[in-house]
Amino acid sequence: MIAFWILAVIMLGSAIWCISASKPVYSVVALLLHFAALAAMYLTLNAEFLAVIQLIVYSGAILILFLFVIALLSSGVASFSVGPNRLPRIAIPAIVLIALALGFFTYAMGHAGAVVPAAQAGSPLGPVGTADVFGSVNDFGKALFTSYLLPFEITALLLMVAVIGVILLAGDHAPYVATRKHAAEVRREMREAILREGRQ
Amino acid sequence: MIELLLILVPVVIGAAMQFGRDDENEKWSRWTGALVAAVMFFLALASRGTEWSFRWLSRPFTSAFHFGPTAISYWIVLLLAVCTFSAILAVNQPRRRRFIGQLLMLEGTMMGLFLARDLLAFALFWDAMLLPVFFTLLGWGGHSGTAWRYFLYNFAGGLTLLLATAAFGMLYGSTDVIGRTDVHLVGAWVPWIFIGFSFAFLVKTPVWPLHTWMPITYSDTPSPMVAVVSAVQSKAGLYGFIAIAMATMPDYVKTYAPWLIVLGIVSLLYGAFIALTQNDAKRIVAYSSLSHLGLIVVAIASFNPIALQGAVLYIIAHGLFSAAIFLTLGYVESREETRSLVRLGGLGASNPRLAGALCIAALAALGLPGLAGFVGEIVILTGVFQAGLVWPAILALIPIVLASAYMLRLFQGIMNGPEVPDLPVRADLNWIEGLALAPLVIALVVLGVNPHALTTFNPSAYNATTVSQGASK
Amino acid sequence: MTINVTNADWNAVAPIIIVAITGLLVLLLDLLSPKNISRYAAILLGAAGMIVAGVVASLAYWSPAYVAFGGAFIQSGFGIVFQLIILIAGIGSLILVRPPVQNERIAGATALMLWGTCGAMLMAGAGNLMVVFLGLELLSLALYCLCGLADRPSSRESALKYLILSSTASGFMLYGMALLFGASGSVAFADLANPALASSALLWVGGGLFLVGIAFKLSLVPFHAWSPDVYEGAPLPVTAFMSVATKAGTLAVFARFMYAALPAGTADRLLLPIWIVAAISMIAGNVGMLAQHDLKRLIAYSGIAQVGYILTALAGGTHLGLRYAIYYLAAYTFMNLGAFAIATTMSGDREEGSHLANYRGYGRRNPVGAALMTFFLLAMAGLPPTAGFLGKILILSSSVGAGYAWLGVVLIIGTAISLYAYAKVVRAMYQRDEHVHAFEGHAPAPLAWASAAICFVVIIVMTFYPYTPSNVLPIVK
Repeated sequence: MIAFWILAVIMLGSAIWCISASKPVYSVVALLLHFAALAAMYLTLNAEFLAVIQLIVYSGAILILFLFVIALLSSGVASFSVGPNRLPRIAIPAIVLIALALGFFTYAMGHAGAVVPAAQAGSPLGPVGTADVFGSVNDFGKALFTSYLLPFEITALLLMVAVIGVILLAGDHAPYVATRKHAAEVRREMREAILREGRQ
Repeated sequence: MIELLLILVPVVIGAAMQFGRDDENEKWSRWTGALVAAVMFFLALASRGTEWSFRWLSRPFTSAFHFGPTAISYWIVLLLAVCTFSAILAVNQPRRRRFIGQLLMLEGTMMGLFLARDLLAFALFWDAMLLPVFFTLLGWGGHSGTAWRYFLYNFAGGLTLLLATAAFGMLYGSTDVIGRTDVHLVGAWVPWIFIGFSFAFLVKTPVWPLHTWMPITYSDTPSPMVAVVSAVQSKAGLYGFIAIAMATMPDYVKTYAPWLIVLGIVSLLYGAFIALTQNDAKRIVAYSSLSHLGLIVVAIASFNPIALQGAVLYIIAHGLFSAAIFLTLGYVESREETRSLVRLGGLGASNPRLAGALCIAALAALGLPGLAGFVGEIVILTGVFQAGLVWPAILALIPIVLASAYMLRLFQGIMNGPEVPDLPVRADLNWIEGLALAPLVIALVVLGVNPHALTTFNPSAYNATTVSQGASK
Repeated sequence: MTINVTNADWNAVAPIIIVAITGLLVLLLDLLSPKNISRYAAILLGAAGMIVAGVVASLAYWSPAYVAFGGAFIQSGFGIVFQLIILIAGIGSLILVRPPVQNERIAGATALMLWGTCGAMLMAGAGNLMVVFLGLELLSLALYCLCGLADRPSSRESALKYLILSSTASGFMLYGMALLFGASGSVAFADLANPALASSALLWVGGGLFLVGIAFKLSLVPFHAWSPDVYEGAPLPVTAFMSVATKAGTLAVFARFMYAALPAGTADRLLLPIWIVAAISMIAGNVGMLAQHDLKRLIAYSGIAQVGYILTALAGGTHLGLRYAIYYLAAYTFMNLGAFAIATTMSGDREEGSHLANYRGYGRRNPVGAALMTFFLLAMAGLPPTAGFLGKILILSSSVGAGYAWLGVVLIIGTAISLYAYAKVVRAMYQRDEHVHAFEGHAPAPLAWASAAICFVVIIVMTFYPYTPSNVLPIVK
């Protein structure tokens, strides 16, 4: 219980830091902290597999990707461009709403009765890697490829859509100008520009 | 099958006439339109007693495309055919082909309304018949606000009609009820259904205080169109009262009859007094319509067989003379480019045929014996008296006297007096314009002399019994 | 709880697999074929794939319902009807793809649209919350990219706005799903219907959050603000697709949740906020339409109200109500696609067809197009002789019959307001305004014209042969 509260405070704090940080790099660091705390929370819930996945995929892969992008765009040290700060205006309504929602959830959860259904609550908890225990790799894999085969397959499609979509949006730098150039011409110019930069 | 032709032929031909360049086939359009309208008249004549039905919905309530004239709507359909024929011949608006097409579409949709034996089909055509008038007002009317006012008022009525129809269908299980005598609706919902129907009917008729769309619409709509609208479309509400409200929920109509009578009397008096004060010739006729139709509402609400027969007579008579007056005023307007009684004057001397036409129509409107208007008024008053509604009958006499005043004022203002020098007086009626008015005038005289044919329906089918129960005050 | 996956399971999702594979084929075709033919080829191949999927799906309509993948996907009349509507939306909007989506991007856009269709179809057949969420994300992800495809800043803005707001809503929905999972111990709809859960606070909180997500996707007031902005920026065909497929898929999820997945006795109270929100949407959507100068914004507000109408049919939870909701949804699909098709025929690089100002005098320039557009707009307003008219009367009847007459009254008021907005466009088309700057049409768009004609015919047929599928009661197990 104590672990939960500590982790919860860390997670919330780092989330707020993430969106309010003045430089992208700080945001990424805050996010890293957030993910690590999340992984720890998974551990306290006996979901070792998820905890490991969380560390490997999110903290390991995705955050590194963020860092690469920031480094490539070389704007990591630069601040976010400053626009009109709307935060003060929405802060009070937001705080009120959050308080209301929290109060509502606390009330509702207090009357919730058994949160974890009996079947799962009674399942044995064993060391990581052993068969047929809740949260284990074995159990997870089995469920993934039988009961949850369809969602698993959809996820594959989902990732493909994301990849194709990004290629489509980013691949073709059509300029916002009235006289549209032929795409091949644009590509040639881009190639030349890259070569020029490479030489410098 | 005749019913289907009566509805579809005008709509399809009218729609086809909307396509093409503005100035193409202007000359032929009038004769095509007149031919179609004439054929429709003979088809309508032949449609007596025929029916055509095609299943539409089977749930949540049964409903059918069921068409066929009832004993009352047969005459209204004939009136519609005659008025459309006359109106098409009288068209002298620019973009004539399109205009005539709109008239034909109006005819077809109103045929659908009056031939409908099913409430849902009735509601469908109720909304559909607004469209040609709306488009005409947009294309040829004076001020676009008029089109909106007409459309929104009447569409609001159409929506309550729709809601009431849905509730009717859910309650009774079928909407295939118009013209049947065995339907008797009871239940806690029925007053609301009745109110839904009534709102639509009262807006359409119109009745004070829901009339505010009417004078402006009648004065802004081009004359041939407004002739048909005031002659036939305004009867849709009255027909609805008789064929739907009285026939299927008489108890509730009787409960609310005093209110209807009050509204009718107020319209009657209000319309007549305002008509006396107007300067615009078309507005005079518009307010006189309000007054005349108020009389019919009183007749219907008195639940008396004689009054009901009078109501049907007057529905037809009012259709004929108001169409004739509006067409004649249209001729005047197209010649003199004004409708103001102050500007006009002295046309009678140089245009004897025009003056004669307006004279006959105005006399029919003020109830000269021998013309159809008189028969309707006298039968209605007799019936209302017989129903024991003495005060309404006496009050209804006042506007009949006033009618003489405002109709003569209208006639004198246009035709009599010294000739106004700066008016662009042009030729008298030509033969086409005369031909347009001829059927209306002939019908006025024939029905004035021999009104018997119109009263052959059985009033007890509409629950109008000799002894008036709920309507006595 | 392991299950055996058999061929029958794959057959149940065969239409979705066909559409997904068509997407890959389109990309492959684009790679292999010369540039100048690939544009039409991609669109036609995509449409053909969806037609095949539609045929395959409808073949299964009369066969008994089948619960596939251990309850993850349910093949039944309900899902199939929604899938067919979604496929129609997909085909109808795919064939409208033209500039400003550049030729090089058309194959990609086609593939994304196909996969978005897959997502919506998955939602229609989803038997558990996980598939609902994945279907929704598949659809949304495809739409984020599609929204940004037009070559103008507003399109990118649209994509970004949709991404951020929609993700927020997905977050709400996911939280709700997590709580529902907490309540029942299972992600399956079937386990939610357990009467023991009726008193569980988790069900109420989770269900409420889930419904917030649903309301956002249906763009109900007060979660509607995104839709006009997003619709406005997105390319025309994408807007057409979004306005129908998202709503159809989400409505399917909502109907299944409402009809089959709620413990007995909870529906009336849990769903009351949805009916209230639907009533507000009917009024606010129609009022919002009045001030619009852009066809896509107009349709967005119109869609807000139309969803309200459909929910009116569902209120009360009767079988007939569901049938009428489906009827109206189908009618709405064709009206929308028809209107967008006409707008497409007027459009070139700058999507002139979406600016209402360009419709002034359209009746003079192109009477047929103007007549069709009038027809579609009046159908949305519910004037006869259109399926919109009949659909409204059916909805009114079912709301009266189910004891939700007050929603029917709100519907009537909303319709009266909406008429003004629709008729305003109609008036602009037939205005006798001599001062319109001559706006010339663009390259012929045979596919769009064909689509408009088909929509017209279908709406007429639907009006006079109002067939409502009977085999549509949703099941969960």
